[in-house]
Amino acid sequence: MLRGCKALLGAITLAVGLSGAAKAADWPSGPVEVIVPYAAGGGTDATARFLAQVFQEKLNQPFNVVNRTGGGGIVGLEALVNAKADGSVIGVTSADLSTFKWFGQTTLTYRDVAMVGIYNMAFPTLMVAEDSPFKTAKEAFDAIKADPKKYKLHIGSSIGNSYHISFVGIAAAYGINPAEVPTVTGTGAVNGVQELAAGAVDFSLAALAEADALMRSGKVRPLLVLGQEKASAMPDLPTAKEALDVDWQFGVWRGVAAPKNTDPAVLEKMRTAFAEAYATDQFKQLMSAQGFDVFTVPQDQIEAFVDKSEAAAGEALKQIGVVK
Amino acid sequence: METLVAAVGLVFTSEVLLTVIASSFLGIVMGAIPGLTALMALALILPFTFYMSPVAAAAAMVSASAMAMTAGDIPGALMRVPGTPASAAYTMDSYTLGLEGKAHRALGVGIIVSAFGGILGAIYLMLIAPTLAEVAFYFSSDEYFWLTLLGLSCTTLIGGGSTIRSAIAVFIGLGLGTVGLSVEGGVPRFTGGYTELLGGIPLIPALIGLFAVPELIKMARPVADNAARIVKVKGRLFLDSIADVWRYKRGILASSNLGAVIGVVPGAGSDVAAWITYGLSRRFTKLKPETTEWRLQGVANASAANNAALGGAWVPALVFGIPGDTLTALVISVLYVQGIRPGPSIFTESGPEVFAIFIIFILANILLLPMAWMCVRAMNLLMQVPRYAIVPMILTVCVVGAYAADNDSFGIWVMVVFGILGWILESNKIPLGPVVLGFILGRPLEQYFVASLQKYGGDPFGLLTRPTATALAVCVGILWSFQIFSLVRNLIGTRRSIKPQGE
Repeated sequence: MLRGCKALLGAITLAVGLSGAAKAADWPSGPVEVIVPYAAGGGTDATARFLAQVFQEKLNQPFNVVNRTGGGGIVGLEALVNAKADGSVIGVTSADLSTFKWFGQTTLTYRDVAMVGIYNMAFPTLMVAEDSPFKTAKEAFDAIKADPKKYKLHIGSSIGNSYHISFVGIAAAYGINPAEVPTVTGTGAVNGVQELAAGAVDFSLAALAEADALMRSGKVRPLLVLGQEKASAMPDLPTAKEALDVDWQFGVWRGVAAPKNTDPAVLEKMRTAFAEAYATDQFKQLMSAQGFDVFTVPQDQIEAFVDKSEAAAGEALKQIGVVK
Repeated sequence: METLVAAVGLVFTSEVLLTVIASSFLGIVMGAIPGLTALMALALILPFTFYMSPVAAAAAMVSASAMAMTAGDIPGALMRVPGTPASAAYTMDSYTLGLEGKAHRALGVGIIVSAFGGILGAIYLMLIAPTLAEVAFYFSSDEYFWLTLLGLSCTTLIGGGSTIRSAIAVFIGLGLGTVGLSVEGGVPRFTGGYTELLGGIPLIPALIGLFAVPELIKMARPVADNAARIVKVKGRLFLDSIADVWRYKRGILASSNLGAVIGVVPGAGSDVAAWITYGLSRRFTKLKPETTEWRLQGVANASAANNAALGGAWVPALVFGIPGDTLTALVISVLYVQGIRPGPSIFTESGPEVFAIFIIFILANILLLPMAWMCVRAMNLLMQVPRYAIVPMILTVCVVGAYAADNDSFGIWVMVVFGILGWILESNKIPLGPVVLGFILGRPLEQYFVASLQKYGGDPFGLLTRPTATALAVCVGILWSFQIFSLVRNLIGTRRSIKPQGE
C-alpha cells in the first residue's frame, strides 16, 4: 500500500516534471507530456486521450495526458507556450485559440505556438423541443427575423463561446441582428438541451452527440447544422447553405500544437506521426463512437485555416458587441 | 429474470473481477492522497477502458469512484486534510474524534455507512431509475436557483452555535466564489491579473489550506501537550463501530435516501449531498452538540449521503445522457465508446449490461470494507513516524495535494493564502463549514440566477412562474422565517451566551 502510494506519487511527479530532452533524430526519445487545457471528462479531453493512446502505440513511448485547467483554457495554453521546446511537451488546442484574442484575456494566438495538425471540426446544431411549432430551420429563422426579441436562445456556456459565434455569424448573414436575440447562458451545451426539454427556452445550441440521448427519447430535435459540413451521424440534416442560403461558417476545430521554437526536424516528425495516427482505423473508430467527426487540414494550409477561423470569430463577436 | 441471469454471467468473469480489484486499488490510493480526486482516478483509467468489454469498463469506473469517495475521509480524520470536497463537510468532526482517541470509530462508522449508502444508491438506480430520471425535466435554472439557495440556507445549521457567525462565514465564502471570469461572459473579477484565477479560486488547494494549515500551525507551536494533537488509529475499526452504526440507523437510512435523490438532480453531486445532509442532521439532532455521539452522527449521515449520491448520479446519465456530476460526464463518454448509448431505451437495448453495472455497484461497495481497512492501516503506519517528523510530513502531503489538483504550483500559493485565512477565521471562532459551502455554491447560485434573469428580461419575479420553482421557493421561505424567528427569540429572550466552536 505504502509502496503503491509512493509509486503513484513518483509517477505523478514524473508525468509532470519530465525533462528528457528529445533529439531531433529520434523523436520521441522519452515520455511526452500532452497538455490538455480543459478538465478531464470533457470533449476535448476525450479526443486528446484517444490521440495520446494511438501515439503511444505507434511510437512506443508513453504519452501522458496532463490536464492544465483554469482560465477557460488560457492556463493550459500559457503552459504550452512556455514549455521546453525540445519535443517533450505537446498540447491539444481548440477553436478557443481563435477567440481568446478578441476577449482581451490574453495576447496569445496561434502565432505563439507551432501547429502540428487539426483532427476534428464540429458544428453546433440549432435544437428545438419536440413540441416546438418550428418544423424547419427556415421557419425558425424567419420567425426570429420577424421578432428577434421574442424567442429565448440557450447558448451553452458564456457569451461569445464557440457555438454562440457559429450562430451569430449565420444569423447576421440572414439579416437578423443577433444582439437583439434574448440569450441565456449556462454550464454547457448539455445544460442547454436540458433547459430546452424542461420547456424553459425556445432554442438551444448543441452538437448532435451532446443531445443524442434526449433526441432518441423524443424530447428535442435538431433543425440544421450551423455550418457547412454535413454531420455523418445525421446526413439528412441540412447545412446553413442548404436551409438558409448562407455561406458563413465558424467551426469548433481541435488540433495538436507544440511550443513555438520546437526544432523544425522534430516538428516534421511530429506532423508525420500525427498524420499516421490520424489515418488509423483505431482513431477513427474511437472518435466516431463518441460522435466526433474526423476532419483535417493539409499541413501547408493549417495557418491559413486557423487565421480564417480567427477572423470569422472576430467578425461575429463584433455583431454582439464583445469586440468594439 | 433472464436479464438478471445474463447480467450475473457478465459480471462474474475473471476480466471483470480483476478490473474491479485493480481499479478499486487505484481509487483508494488516489482518494487517500489529498488533492487527487475520484475524477482524476477515472481519467487515468479512461485509456485502458478502450481495451475492455463494456461491463469491465463500467466496472472500472464504478469501483474506482466508490473507493476514492470513501478513502477521501481517511486523511481528513488523521490529519485534518480533506481528501475530497465531499469529505470536507465532516472533516472537523472526524478529526476532533481522532484527537479524542476515537479515530477508529469515526473511520469505522464512515466506512460502513459509505458501503451501505453506496449499496442503497445502487438499489435506487436499479428499481426506479427511469421514473426518477424524469425529475430532470422539472428542473430549469429557476428550480436550480431555489434548490441551491436551499442548500446554502443549510449553512446556518452546520456552523454549530452562533447564527451570526455562520452568516458571516457564508458571506465570506460567497465573496471568495465571485473571483474569476463573470459567469455570463468573460469579464474577469478580482483576479489581480492572475490568469490562474480566471476560472475561480482552485477549490482543492483552498480546502487543504483552510482545514489543514491552521492545524499544522497549532501542531508546530511549542506547546507541552503537542503529542495530543497527533491522531493514531487504535482499536478495532469495524467491530467497535457496529454499535454506533446501529444507533444512527434511522438517520443513515434517511441520509442515504436523500443523498441518492440529490445525486439524481443533474449538476448537484456528492459534495452537495454531503453538505446538505450534514446540515439537516445538525438541525434535527436530539443529541447534545460537541459530544462524541453528536460528532459521529454527523459523520455517519454525510458519509452515507455522498456515497449514495454516486449511484444516484448515474440515473440521469444512463436514462437521458445528462451527467448528474462531473464523474458521470466522463462515464457517459466511456459508455458511448463501448457502444452503450444512454437513453430511455437503454434498459431494453443493453439490459444485461445495465444490470451488470448495478451488480458491480453492490460488489464494489462490499469490497470497500476490506480495501478501506487496508488503507486505514497503511495510513496509520505513516502516523507512527516520530513526532518531530510528523508536521513536515503532513505539510508535504498538503503541498503535493495542492500542486496535484491542477498540476500547477499556483495551487501551493492558494493553499498558503487560505491557510492564513483559515487560521484567522478559526482564531475568531468563525466556522469553516459555511465558508466552504458558500464558496462551493456561490458560483452555481449566481449562474442560475443570471440565466433566469436572462429568460425573464431581468424580472426577478419570473423565478416564481414555474410550479416546481414556486414550491422550492416556499421551502426556502419557511426555512428562512424559521431561522429569523429563532434568532429574534434568542435576542430578546435569555440572551444566552455565544458558545465557542471547535475545540
